[in-house]
Amino acid sequence: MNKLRDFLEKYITRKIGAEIKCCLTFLLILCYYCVYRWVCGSEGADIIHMLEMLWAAYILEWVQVLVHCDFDEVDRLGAKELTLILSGSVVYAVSGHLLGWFDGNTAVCGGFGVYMIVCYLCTFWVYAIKRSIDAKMLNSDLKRFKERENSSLY
Amino acid sequence: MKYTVEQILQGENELILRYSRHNGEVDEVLRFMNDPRGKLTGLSGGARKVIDRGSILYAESVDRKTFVYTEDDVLRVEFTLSGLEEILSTVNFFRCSKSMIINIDRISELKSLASNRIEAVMTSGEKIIISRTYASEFRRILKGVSGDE
Repeated sequence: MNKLRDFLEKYITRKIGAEIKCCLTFLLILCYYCVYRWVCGSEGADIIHMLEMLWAAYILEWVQVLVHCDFDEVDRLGAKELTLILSGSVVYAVSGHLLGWFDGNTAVCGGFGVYMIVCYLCTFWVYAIKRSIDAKMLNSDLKRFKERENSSLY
Repeated sequence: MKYTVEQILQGENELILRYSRHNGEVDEVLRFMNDPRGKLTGLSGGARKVIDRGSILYAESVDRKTFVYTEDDVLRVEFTLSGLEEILSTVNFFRCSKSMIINIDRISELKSLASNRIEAVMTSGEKIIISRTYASEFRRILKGVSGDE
């Protein structure tokens, strides 16, 4: 029973983590798409394109989580992490080109690939900054805890 | 439990406990044997040693045996991890995983890891991971917030 509960807890935690990444990625892709459409003089977005973007983000982020769960939360970007970032960005750019998100414009698709690389790197840096702030707060709390405990002895 | 008292002509005063089954009665005697003023006894390299509880870095349960680690020694104690946790409850010890208790006073630095885990760097340089399950409670203890709040 405990093993089943542990398995379910791990599965749900991983699932929630993956789906948060999927939502974030979809939002980033949509942002680029909307800016492209606006620059091209259009005020509408193709709902089929948006569904394709959603599914692409969902599938690819799940694949990345299964290969390397927290690759965007590591301390350092190693070869494995950089490979995942590059391959993911290429897959998104190729998907965008094949599915016609950017009207077959190769330069825009190339720019989209570079944009996704930048997004992955920014996500990594944001997590690193978050951990650094958290560590600072933890060590400050640790220091106050020790001072509190020492003063209570006297 | 039967007991025997024997006066010897020379040598150190010594208290020996022989038991075939570790039960509540044995635990009570062990608690008495471990000086409540802050000492703990255990086995290290076949010899019985007494250590100050404050010198404990962490305690770990491996294969149903409990080991206590100091900066320069490892002792095997007769308690279960839960039993040891009860004895150490008046000091700043925290259950950081299913099989480990750490001494908060002996943590030199904390590091935030992915997935809400925390890495505790002990004064000996060893690194211990506080799992996600226990990290929230650890943060509350550091902030001085009781579990009831």
